[in-house]
Amino acid sequence: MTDFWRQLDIVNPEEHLGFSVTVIGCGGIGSPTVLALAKMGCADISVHDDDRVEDHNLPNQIYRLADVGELKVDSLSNVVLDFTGVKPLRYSQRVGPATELGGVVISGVDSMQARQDIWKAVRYNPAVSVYVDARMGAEVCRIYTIQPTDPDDVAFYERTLHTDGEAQDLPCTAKAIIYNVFMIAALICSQVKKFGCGQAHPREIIFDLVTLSLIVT
Amino acid sequence: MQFVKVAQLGKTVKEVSLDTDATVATALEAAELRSAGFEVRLNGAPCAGTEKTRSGDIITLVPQIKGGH
Repeated sequence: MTDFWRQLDIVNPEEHLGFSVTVIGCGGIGSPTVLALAKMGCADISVHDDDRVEDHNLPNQIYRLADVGELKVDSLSNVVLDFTGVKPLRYSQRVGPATELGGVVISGVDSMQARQDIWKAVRYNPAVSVYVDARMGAEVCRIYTIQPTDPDDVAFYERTLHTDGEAQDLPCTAKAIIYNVFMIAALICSQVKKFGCGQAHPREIIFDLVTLSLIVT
Repeated sequence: MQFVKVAQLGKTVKEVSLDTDATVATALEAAELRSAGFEVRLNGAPCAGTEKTRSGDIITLVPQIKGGH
């Protein structure tokens, strides 16, 4: 039984984190986020990804040497179980427009096309209470947190969608770094905590660890 | 005279000195940074190149990014 005593006046899992959380994408954004959510006290977690762990994932994702070749959802579920006693539900498939989603939904996928597909399953879906979409590019991150049944939030979020071709084209050797994914996981968990506690949360967070810039709107 | 910071996220941040009637566009020109391919923000809010700047302002060039890696 995990003792959350050190955080009870920040967030009490029994009181504030009883909702389900779905994390789509178990890579640099998703894998540390799932571990941090479970450590924070989220006990009802589902994970979606159809990829397998590769050698080049080890430096910036929460996988062990022995996980190479395994499905990410299987390895991540085992890692989280070992650390927290929480066993996330595993779905080794991509989320599409017809996927049933509910509760808190978090996207950490690798393309804008995948985000468009998730958005079709989230947009005006009354079962989804809050949607968090995090996007990473090297040491820069953008995190959007919206209520998908709120017309203002929907319009705001849809202005942030673009094509894959319009995104910055980063070299394969400059896409991700471990300290940035921890920053992203921390901010996502902070947004989830604010939602759970009924606190105001920003719709947009942009940060860059190169220039140490932060934009919050 | 006014002093404005210009940040291109992921790359660099510069402080430039400008005339009092300067705009976002002239600040970017003084910083030798191009806005093509970026969202331009003035103190965090989307802005046009014609917007006037004031001392202490921060102009940010925000890239479109898509990764989850």
